[in-house]
Order: sequence, then C-alpha cells, then structure tokens
Amino acid sequence: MLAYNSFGSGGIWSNLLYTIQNVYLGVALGLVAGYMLGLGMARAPRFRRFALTPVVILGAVPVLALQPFLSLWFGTSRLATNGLVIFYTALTVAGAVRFAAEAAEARYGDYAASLGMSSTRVTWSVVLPATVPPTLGVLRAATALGWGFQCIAEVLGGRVGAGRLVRTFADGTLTAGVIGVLVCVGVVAVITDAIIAMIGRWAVRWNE
Amino acid sequence: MSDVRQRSVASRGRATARRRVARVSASIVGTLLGWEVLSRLLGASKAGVQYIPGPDDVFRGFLAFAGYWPGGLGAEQTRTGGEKTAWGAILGIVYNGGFSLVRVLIGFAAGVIVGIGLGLIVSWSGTARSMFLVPANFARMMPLLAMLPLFGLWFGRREVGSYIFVAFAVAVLLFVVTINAVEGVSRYYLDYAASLGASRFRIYRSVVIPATLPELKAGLLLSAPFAWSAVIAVEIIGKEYGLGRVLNFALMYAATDIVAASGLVVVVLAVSSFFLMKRWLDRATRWA
Amino acid sequence: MEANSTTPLPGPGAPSGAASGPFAVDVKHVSKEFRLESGTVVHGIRDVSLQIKSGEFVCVIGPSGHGKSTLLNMIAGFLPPSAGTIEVFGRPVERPGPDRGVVFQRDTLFLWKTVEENIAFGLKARGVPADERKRIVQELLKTIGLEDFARAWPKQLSGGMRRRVAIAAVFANKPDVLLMDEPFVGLDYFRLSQMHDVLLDLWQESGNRAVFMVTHDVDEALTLADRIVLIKKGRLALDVPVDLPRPRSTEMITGPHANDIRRRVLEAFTQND
Repeated sequence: MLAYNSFGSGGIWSNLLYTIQNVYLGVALGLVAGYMLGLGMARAPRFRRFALTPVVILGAVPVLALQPFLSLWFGTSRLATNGLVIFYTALTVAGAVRFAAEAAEARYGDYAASLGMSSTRVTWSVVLPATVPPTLGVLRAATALGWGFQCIAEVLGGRVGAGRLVRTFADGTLTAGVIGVLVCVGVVAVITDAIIAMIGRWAVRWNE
Repeated sequence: MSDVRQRSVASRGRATARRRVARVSASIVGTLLGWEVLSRLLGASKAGVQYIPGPDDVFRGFLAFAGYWPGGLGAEQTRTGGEKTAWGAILGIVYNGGFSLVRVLIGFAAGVIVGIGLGLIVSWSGTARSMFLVPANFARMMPLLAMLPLFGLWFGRREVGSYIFVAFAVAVLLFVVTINAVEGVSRYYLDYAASLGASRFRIYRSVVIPATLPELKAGLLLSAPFAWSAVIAVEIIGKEYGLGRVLNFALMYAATDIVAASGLVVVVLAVSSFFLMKRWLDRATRWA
Repeated sequence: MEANSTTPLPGPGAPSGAASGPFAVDVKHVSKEFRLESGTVVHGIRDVSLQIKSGEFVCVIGPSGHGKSTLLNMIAGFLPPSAGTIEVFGRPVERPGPDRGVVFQRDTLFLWKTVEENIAFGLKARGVPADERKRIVQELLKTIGLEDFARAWPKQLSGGMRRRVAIAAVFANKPDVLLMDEPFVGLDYFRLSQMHDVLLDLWQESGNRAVFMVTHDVDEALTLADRIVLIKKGRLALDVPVDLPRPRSTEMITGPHANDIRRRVLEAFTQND
C-alpha cells in the first residue's frame, strides 16, 4: 500500500487537497447559509411560515438525489461536487440554529426586552451567541457526513479529488489503493473534527 | 353546550378547514405556475440543456420511463422497437421504483438490526463501550458513501453487494448513535432502578434501552434518506434496473426532463417513506 | 387529603420492629474523602456515627455541601465509605438494594412507563405476581389520590403529582429504610403540607419504617420527624428528639417545645467552631 502511495504521491496529495478544500469551503458556506436560514426562521414569523414546509421536506430528501441536478447545471465545476456538502450542512445547521434560537428567546427574551433591547439587537447580542453551543455538535456531525458526500460526488462524476482517485484505483482493481485513499480521508476527517471541537470549546468557554 | 352553539362551532371548524384547503391548493397552483414561468424565462444553455425543466418538461420526461420496462403486461420493450406509451411509462416507474425501494428496505432493515443490535450488545459492558467509542467515531468520519467502489471490487455486480453496502452505511451510523445514546443515559435512572431491586439485565432492558429511544429515533430519521442516497449511488454505478440507472442515463444524455422526472420519483418515494417511519417513531416515543 | 389515623401516635419508637435487636440503620465511624483532580483531598464526612431505630423518622438538616447527601448516598449504597461501616438490620451495605428505597431530589420517574407501571416497577423486578402487584398499586394510588391517572405518562403530570408517584413507587417495595434527599424542594407551602400528609399516610400505612430524610427546612423537619440531626462540616453537630404527638398541628410546631428545638438548630447552624 505504501508503494502505491509513494508512487503517485504528487497526484495523491493534490487530489486530497482538492477534496479537503472543497469540504472546508462547503461546510463554511453551509454554516453561513444555515445560520441565516435558521435565524430567519426563528426571528421572522412571516419567513418561517413561508420556509417551513420546504425545509421540512428537504430534510427528508436523500442528499444524493440532488447530485444529478448539480451535474446538469454546473457540469464538473467545483460547485457541482461542492453543492451536496453545502446543502446538507446548511439544512442541518438551520435546524439546530432555529431550535437553539427559539430556546434562547424563551429563556432570555423577556429579560432582554425589559432592558429595552430592540428585536434586532436581541438577535445579534443575545440569541446568536446562545445558538453556538448546540450548533457545534451538529456542525461536527454534518462535517463527518460531508466528507462522504463530497467523495461520492467525486466518485460519480468528478474529474479531480479523492473520490476520483478512488474510482481510478477501483477501475484498476487496486484494492489497496482504494483503502489507502479512504483511510487518508478518514484521518483528515478526524483531525478536522478535533480542530472544530477545539475551536468550539474556545468559543463557548463561557458556557456552564 | 346547546345544540345551536355546537352546530356553529362545527360549521366554523368546517369553514376553517375549507379555507385551509383553498390556501394550500392556491399555493400549489401558484408554485407550479411560478415554476413554469421561471423555466421558460431561464431557457436553455448553449448546449441546449434546459436550465430548469418546467412542469410540462417533467411530464414529458415521465414517458421516458417506458424505455425501462422489460416488456409484458401490455407494453412492449422499447429497445426492441416497441412504442413508448403512458401505460408503459407507469409500469416503468413502478418497476424501477420498486427495485430501488426493495434495495432500500432490505439494506435499511439489515443496517438497523446490525447497527443497533451490535451497539446494544457492546454497550452492555461499560468497558466494552469505552473501548468502542473511539474507533466507532473514527469509522463515522470515514467517507462511508465513497466506499462504494470498494464494495464493487468485493462483490462485483451481485445484488447482495448492494444490500450489504447500504446495510453497512446505515449500520455504522446507527452503531455510533446507539453507543453514544447508552453512554448518555443519566446515572440517576440506574441508581434509582438498582435501589428498587432490579437486576442488571432488567435495568438494561427496562430502563437503559427505553431511555435511549429518543436519541435512536433521531439517528433513524437521519439514516433513512442516507440509505436512499446509498442505493442511488449503487444504481448509478451499475445496476440494470432502478431509479439510479434511469437518472444516470438521463445525465449522460443531458436530458433535463428525464432527470427531473426520475428525481421526482426518488424524492416522492424517499419523502413518503421518511414521513411514514417518522409517524411510527413519534408514536413509539410519545412519552418523551 | 384525609388523615388515615385518628389517634395520635406517640413519638419515637413506633410499634413495628423489635425493641431490642439490630438497628434499622447503624452508621459506625464513617468517613468519606473525595480526591479532586487538582490532588486536594476534601473531607465529605468525618467520623460520623448514627443509629436509627426501626420505625424512627429522622430528618437530617445542615448547610449545603456539608455532607448530608453524601451520607445518604453511602447508606443507599451508591458510594462506598472511605472508613467505617454501615449496616442495615445487621447486614452490611455494599450496593444499592430494595431494602433501602431512595427518593431523589430530581425527578427519576421513568418517562416511558405509565404511572402504574412506575409504581409497580420494583414489585415486578422482584417477581411479585401480577394480581398482587395490581392490588398494591391500586392501594397506593388511592392513598396518593391519583387513581384517575393510573395510565398517564409522567410528562402529563404536574411536578407535585410526579413527586407523589415517586414516593409511592418506593413505598411499594416496602423497604426497611426509606432514604429521601430533599424530596420537596421548591413546593409552595400549601402543596408542601399536602405532600407531608401524603408522606405520613404512606408511612403509617406501610407500618412506620425507618426514614432518613435530608432537608433544609426546619419547619418540615418539625412537622415530620421523630428526631432531628444536624450535619455541619461533615460532622454530627446536633441530635435532638422531637417529642410531639402526631398528627402535628400548626399550633404544635409553633409551640414552645418546637421553638426550643428550632432555636437550638439555628444556633448550631450559625455557630462558628
């Protein structure tokens, strides 16, 4: 296995890097989108009524069913393979953020209002920080699955990336190579998870 | 309550229900119209690929399913020269959808039994649980779906390979969920049960396992669409019949309408099975 | 709540249990140390000796964090003592068991079981046959006044109702000793007196078992206990009998004898050693 790894080491690293960049980018975008969606649903009743049904249904849709559409629209560009990660992260983060925001509203809402804070101010200064602890766990879970979605998208139709590597190795019946790539991705995923956990612990050091 | 008041309460209820039906149908019709307008507006790309297939395109796309029906029951196989009929299309949808559905059901069921079963067995012993905690979480970090080519190498094109792949993906997820759930059961429950004279086995059966149900439910709802993703991936890569195959071919020929149609079938099947399962699970945890 | 007994019972030493013979609870020179992560050793309990006779209702009072709950947990068998022994009717305490029923401060009712299933849990665990179980559960439901809620889920009940079910569930097992860790914290005075009535009814119906109840409320102790014990800084600081007949009226617990005890307890509380 080591032989295969060192054989195309340049190729392997750059492919792996592509996947890593995409997952990080996708998770980041999904995080932002999910936060906006979740906060919007928690703080703006009109938006919630409008968005609730689509969001609930989307939660039941198998993520991979979107892949064909992304391929169609974006060919083999970055967004095609990234889209699944963005979508899944955004959806799960939105759910967690919304839940946490509503809980924060219930817990601090009256108090904040009695201090004379406007609704916007409450959203930014009170609700937002309160949503960070629960969202952290969801973020880690979504990232863990995100590696899988990114890789499978690359397996099915990517030109570059760890998934593509897997496909190449598999086509050449190089089982060791396939396993090697997957383990590499797994190791990176574990490291990423640890980093998120560390950042998270720092970000919520005020939590009881 | 007097008769008159009862009647007016009931008729008010009916009126509200009627209004709600009207509202929902209006929003459905509105969505369809808006969809059609959007699709026409965006048009097609330079390569002739329609950006967003409208409802009429999707409708046409459904006919393509007739091409995936192996013939019989009144609709001839189109590959050998038969015509594409609406009846054939329906048969095609049911046939391919059925293949996918069966793969999902078998894989999911197997995954649930293995994942939760093994999780519960391992969690019986506190030492075993802590031993498995780290490797289990590591396994979850692996790109589960991307292991598909691996399974392809191991099982070739045999049907059992697809069942095992789906079961594997679901089992890993549920195994981790189960272990974490058992770990999270409050020790006050355990102390209390012991002080009532319950044996270790009874505590596990009547206290620990029910206490984990809400968390297990969340895990199951997460793995159901995941199982569908796994089946589609399997079918895209190489099965003769199934929704994934239809999707794949449509993609290869950039036939947006067929992609939309088959995508829609997948979504309908996945979403309805999801909500059915959710109903049942909600009932099982209605005490939470 | 109707009072089930019309004749006031005498103070400590109720009729059940032998006058001589082993104590219901015998705590002999028990100490408990906790080693913190930083390495420092904290003394939870220092050399406490305490005997509770069968049928005695003992209330344990003391400042927070001074060891009351630690002592309770050791008698229950959840924590081993660092030194000393604890015996219940002559049997050494090693692990939790049905002879020592515990009512926790937090709600530990099984949410996935109905009220009657919760009450029957201990009975079922010990193999009591179904019709016998049903009879006992029915009786208890009647005493706590929740017959209509037999099939309800805990989440459908109010906090006070759940507390009643929790106490009944423990009484169902007829433990030799009943251990309660601040079971009535947070209830308003009206509900509190209801709870006290329920508790005393259950206690008397079950034959007056030994009770070890941790509380921070002196009035509560005066209402319920045969004996009040004060634990301060991990040591036994006071041990006074409460010589008042039951049932105890408000007049009695604000009378001279009660006030005397109250004064002694408060003094011991605030005294600096």
